[in-house]
Amino acid sequence: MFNKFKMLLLMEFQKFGEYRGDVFIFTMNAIVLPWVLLNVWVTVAEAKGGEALDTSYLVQYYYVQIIVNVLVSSWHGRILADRIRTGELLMFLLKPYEYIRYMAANNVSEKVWKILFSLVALIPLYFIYQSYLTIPVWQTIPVAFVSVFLAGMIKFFISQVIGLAGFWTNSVNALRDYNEGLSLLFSGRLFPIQYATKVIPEAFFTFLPYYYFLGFPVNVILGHVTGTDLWFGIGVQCFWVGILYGLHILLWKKGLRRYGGFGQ
Amino acid sequence: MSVISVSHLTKYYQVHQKEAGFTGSLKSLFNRKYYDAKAVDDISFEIEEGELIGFIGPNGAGKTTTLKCLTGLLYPTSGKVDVLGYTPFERKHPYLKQISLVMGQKNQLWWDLPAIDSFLLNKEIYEIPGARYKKTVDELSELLDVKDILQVQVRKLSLGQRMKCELIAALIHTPKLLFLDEPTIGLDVVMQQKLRDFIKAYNQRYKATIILTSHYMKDVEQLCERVIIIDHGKLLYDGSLSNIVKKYAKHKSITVIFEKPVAKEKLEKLGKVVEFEDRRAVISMPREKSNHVAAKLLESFPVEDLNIEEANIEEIIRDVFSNKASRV
Amino acid sequence: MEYRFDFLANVARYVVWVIVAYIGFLVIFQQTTTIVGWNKNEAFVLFGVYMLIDEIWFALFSRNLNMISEYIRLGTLDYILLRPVSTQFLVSLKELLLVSVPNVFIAFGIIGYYLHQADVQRTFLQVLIGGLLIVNSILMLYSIMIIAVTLAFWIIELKAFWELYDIFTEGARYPIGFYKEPLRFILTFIIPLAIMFTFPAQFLVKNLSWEFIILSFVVGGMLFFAAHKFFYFGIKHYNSASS
Repeated sequence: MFNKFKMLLLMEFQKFGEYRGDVFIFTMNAIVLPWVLLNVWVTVAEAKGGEALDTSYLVQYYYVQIIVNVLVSSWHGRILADRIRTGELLMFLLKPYEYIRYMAANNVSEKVWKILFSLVALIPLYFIYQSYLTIPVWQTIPVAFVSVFLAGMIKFFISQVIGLAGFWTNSVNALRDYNEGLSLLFSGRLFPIQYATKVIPEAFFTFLPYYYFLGFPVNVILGHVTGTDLWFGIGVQCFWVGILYGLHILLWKKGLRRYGGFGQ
Repeated sequence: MSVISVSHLTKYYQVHQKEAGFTGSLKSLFNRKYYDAKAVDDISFEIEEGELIGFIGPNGAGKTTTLKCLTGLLYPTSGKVDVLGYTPFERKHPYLKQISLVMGQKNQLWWDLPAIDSFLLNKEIYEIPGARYKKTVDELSELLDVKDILQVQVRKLSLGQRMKCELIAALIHTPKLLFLDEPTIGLDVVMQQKLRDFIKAYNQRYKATIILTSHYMKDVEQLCERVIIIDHGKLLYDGSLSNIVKKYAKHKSITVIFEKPVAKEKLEKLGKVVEFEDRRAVISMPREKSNHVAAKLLESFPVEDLNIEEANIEEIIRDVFSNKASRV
Repeated sequence: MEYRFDFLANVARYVVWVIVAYIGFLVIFQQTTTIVGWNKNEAFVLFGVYMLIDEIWFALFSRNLNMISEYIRLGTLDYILLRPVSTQFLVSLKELLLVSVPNVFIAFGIIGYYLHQADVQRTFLQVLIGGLLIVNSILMLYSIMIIAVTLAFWIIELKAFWELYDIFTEGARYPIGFYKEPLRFILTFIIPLAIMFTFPAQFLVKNLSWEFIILSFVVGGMLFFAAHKFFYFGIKHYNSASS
């Protein structure tokens, strides 16, 4: 049972190794934006003056965001959509092994490689911003771990669901782009959401899944969410994992029926 | 009991009908119209254990669709399919562990890794004990002569080498039932022959039931005693290959070599001259007249050599299809 | 007909991105009205300049430069080398992506609208020089990417060259003054986004002393020349490695 996944993981890991140059560039690409925004927000804080914006919170926020972003990254939806389009998926359907596990192995390997590569940026950035960064309080570590794990699950199933759209449409790429755009706004990637409530109604953060796979776990790690807010947030994360998992099951079933009903 | 039993299998595809033009594509976004295309239309047959069967038919006849219904990739519109006691479309794991599908144009091997890795993955997925795995891979790579390329990345292999490795990957779990869809497509003649020999040997050694579709009549001719012919989704013929010739071949041909050149016009009185060179000619005539024509030739021409042949099976089948088409 | 739909879809996608970026700016300028000498309207002019350069890059070069590593990997570069036209010219402008033409107009619209909002009056000559600075920026961006893509002659297995473009231009939406050291140093001297994006926008909304204008064209010319030399150096390497 465990051997199957271990072998799969080993192969995925090797496969990523074959494309390590590309994976490196992808990883760096995801790091540049938070670094740019870190600079921008520190400048904004200075321009505003006073205690209104906490510079060291902003630095910590973006530094931790880089880490969380790597930990929750999921690009397998694109692979799935390609396999649906080319019919390559058929070969997987005839295996006595659930397809989602192939994707899980892909995802774990993706994360391991990206974590390794992101150290190339995280270490120098640590020394640059050393004076702002503090070691998180140890009490937050277990809950931070849970929150990041749930965030990873949310992102994994969002990617999966978008990939599954490939059963119905050829323009999964457009769908991915729109999702990407929304996630920039609502996940806390462009700005910490508490600074945006005058521009964007809070409901967008509360009722969409985006905040819960990035901004929320970052704030949990920083110890910025505590008490009932913390448990409410983790509850919402669980809720989204459940919803997206259910949606994935439904779309997979419906999609396969449809796949089997159309000419290729 | 039969390994496969198919009764009144029918499969319609829903085909998306798109109106032309920009407004058409906009409209189709919201309100799609479909029409049914009959890919397989009321087909029934039984296949026994250990048989090696050929599916023949022109492009789009419904061969691959039938195969996909049998493996469980397609959901039949109506009819009953029973394979090894299972309903294929449920794709239960115990069922999947007994079958295998090789498609000439789709790979299961991991493109960036050596073939041996894909084999090992299959060993785990199909839960094959180490000793049995080793024995199977050794045997198969011996038979196919690929021992020294198993460690090479698949993308660096030639098409033929890749196909051989695909076959091994499909056979790691020694399936009872093997589906081969155009396994020799794109391969050169030598490689095609090697694959055919292998399929035959595998069938005999493991008593596996094998179903083969192919464009190349040579594949079917050499491998299959029984063939099923499908055209326009309908079953046209199900029986032995030799019976096709008796049933459908209406012509024989005679190849003659003359001692010296002869006039073409004289030969044309005997039958249809298909080929004519300086001293060699091929004449085609109705089956029953062939003896008579041969006698005539020997009698009135300077014949050096003479040979009576059944029409080539490929031509017969082509005839069958075109007759069918002209009747419809 | 089919691609009129693509056209619209592409514009729609673009508009979504513009809105996302617009809201991003709003959030920042909602904190404070002026940031290191840039107010909201001026910053939007810079954003428009970025959009314009980005879309022209996309229409002219993006696809073509991506293909270069493909030619090298598949060996089709040989056919191109045999053509009696400048190889660099041919691979750079092989195929134009006209789908982004509407987006170019949207970008012009953004620049025009916010120049008006910022209450800036410009003479014809100033607009002309501004235009030339933008053309210069496009050529600089092109040169930098040619240098990056030429690396494919040595690193054949790398495919994600287009991602480098994203990495290089990620900081282009904000004035260079928004960045602290060491990022500011990198974006001034290594990937000179300061010259490519901040200068033209600054010239349009405020003023740019003529030394900086001359500097822009000098750096642009030098980069273009260097890229040209490096590209042919790469081809030479390719020829000697593959024969």
